[in-house]
Amino acid sequence: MEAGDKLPTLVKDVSTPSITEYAKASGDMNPLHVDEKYGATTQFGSNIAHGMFMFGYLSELLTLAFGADWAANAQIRSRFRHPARPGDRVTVTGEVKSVMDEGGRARVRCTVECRIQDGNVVAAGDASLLV
Amino acid sequence: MTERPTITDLPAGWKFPPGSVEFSRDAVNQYNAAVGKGGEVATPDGEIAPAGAVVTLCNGVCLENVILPPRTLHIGQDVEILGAIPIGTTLDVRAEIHSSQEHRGVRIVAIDMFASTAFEGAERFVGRATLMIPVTDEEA
Repeated sequence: MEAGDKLPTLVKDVSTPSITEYAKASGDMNPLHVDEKYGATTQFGSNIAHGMFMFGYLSELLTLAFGADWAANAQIRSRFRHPARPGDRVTVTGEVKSVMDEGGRARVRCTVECRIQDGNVVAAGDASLLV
Repeated sequence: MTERPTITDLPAGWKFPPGSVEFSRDAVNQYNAAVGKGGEVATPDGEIAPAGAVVTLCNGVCLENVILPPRTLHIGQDVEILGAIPIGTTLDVRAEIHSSQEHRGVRIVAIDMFASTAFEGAERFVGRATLMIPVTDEEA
């Protein structure tokens, strides 16, 4: 693994049922996420996915790329920049930025992002882990 | 039952009531039903809860103790995972308001979280959730 390597790509479709499933799992039943009528009255024009739902996609990508190393000893700084709405297709990608020796293991730093079909980045993160 | 406070009324330093969360197979399945099964990891010692599920469920333990205005947005999440969470593990969760500041019509609230295994007390996760809440009469 070296700087410039691409992580696997995930493609996810956001829907009101999947948002509702996430709301149940998280306990966050904020109407902005789960109530289509309420969402239509907001500046977003519809209900939107939880930011942490997009975090889940970033985390899934990192699991696919790094397995247990991501789930056991890692850091990420993530920002949710733009709403993802029902009907959006989210492409989740990542890239290795650096690999450095750290006590006999490799410290991998990478960027990850969720981008929807119109090009907007809905979530982005900087991750670091030992592999 | 004590009435829950609204998060915008809470000052920096306010501590959330401590809680706990079990990473049961059912809880992880519910998370996976929404996000996808790709976050699961099997190791020789058993299955590990997806990191996203760990953060999601720990956040939930904190936020069930407060009222979030309906247009609250979760705009950032910083996470440090300090150890794997096998399925079946229970974590104790502590949290407090790190900062709460109003600026240009919105309030930004940062919440620090700490989670450790229920019996051994081994720290497993620290994080900071950042929320943005519009400041309008509608949210009162």
